[in-house]
Amino acid sequence: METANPFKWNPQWVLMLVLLIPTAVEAQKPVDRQSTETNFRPRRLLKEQPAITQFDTKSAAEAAGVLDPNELVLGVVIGDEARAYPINMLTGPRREIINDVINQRPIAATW
Amino acid sequence: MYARNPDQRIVTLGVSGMLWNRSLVMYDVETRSYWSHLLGRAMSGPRRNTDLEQIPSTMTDWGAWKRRYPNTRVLWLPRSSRQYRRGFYQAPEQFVLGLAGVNPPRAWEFTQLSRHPVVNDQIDSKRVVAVFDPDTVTARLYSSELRGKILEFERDAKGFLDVQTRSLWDRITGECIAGQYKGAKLVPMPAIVSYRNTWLTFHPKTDFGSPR
Repeated sequence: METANPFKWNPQWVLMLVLLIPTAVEAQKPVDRQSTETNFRPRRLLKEQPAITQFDTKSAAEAAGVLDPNELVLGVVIGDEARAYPINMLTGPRREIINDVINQRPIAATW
Repeated sequence: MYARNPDQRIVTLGVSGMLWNRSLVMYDVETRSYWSHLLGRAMSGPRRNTDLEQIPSTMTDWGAWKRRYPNTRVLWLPRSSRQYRRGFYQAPEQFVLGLAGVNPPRAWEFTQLSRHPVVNDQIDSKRVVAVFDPDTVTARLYSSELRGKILEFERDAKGFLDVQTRSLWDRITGECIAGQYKGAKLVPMPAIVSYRNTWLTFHPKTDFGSPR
C-alpha cells in the first residue's frame, strides 16, 4: 500500500517557497537604520530586571577613600549640579540603567 | 546618557533581559515598549519610533572629575566590577567618539584622536571641535561657536587654545581657564564613547570625517 509522502513536492508548497524567497533576501541585506527597524528581533538571555529608581549617592569627600582616582566614571552636569556614575557600579545585568533626576531633569544614566 | 521625557511623557527604563545586535534592549515601565540602548529609540510597542534625546556626558576618571567638580554627587552601589579603570581604553583602535542624530552619523576614531588631539571639524554647516585628553583618555565634542563667533582651536600641553585669542581651554569641561575668554564655556555636543564595532553595527553609514 502506498502511504502519502509528506515531503513530496506539490504545487502548493512550491508556490509557498517562491513567495518566501523575497523575505529571505530581505533578511540578508546590510543593516542600515531602515532595515534595523524592520529587523528588530531581540533575543532573551535573562529575565526582565526591575527598573532602578532608588539608590544612594555620596559626596566627593565621602567617596574619596573608597573610589580610586583612576576608576572610570560617566559624568553629567545639568545646570549647577554634577553627578558621577562609577562604571564599576554601573555594569552587570541588574544595573545597566539608573533612572535619576538631576536639577529636576529626568535622565537615564547608561553607557 | 538620555533625557527620560520624550514628548513630555516620562519613561522609567529597565533592563529587559534581551539583546539585539549584541546590545542591550531596555523596556519602559509605563508602556512596556522595547528600546534599543545604543539608538535610544523605541523599536516596538506603543512608543515605537520615539527617540530619547542623548544628553552630553563625559567618560573620564574619578580623579579628573572630582578635581573639576568638587561638589559632585556620586552614585553609590556595591561594586559589580573592578576592571573599568583608566587603562580600559588602552587599545585605541577599538573605540570611537560617535555622534548620532545627524545624517550621516559622525565618529572620530581614538587612533586618530590620540595622534591629533584637537580636530576642528564641521557637521553640515555647524563647526565643532573634537578634543582628546591623553592622560585620562577622555574624548569630547564641543560646538566651536561662542558668542556668535566661530573659534578655531589648536593643541597645547595644558589643554587647548583658540587661535583667535590664545585663551586656554580645559579638554574635559570645555571651560576657558586662562586668557580673554576665562570663565566662558563651550557648549558640549552629545557624542558618546563606544566600541567601534558596536557603533558601526548600529550606524553603518557613519562618516569618519574630513578633519581640517
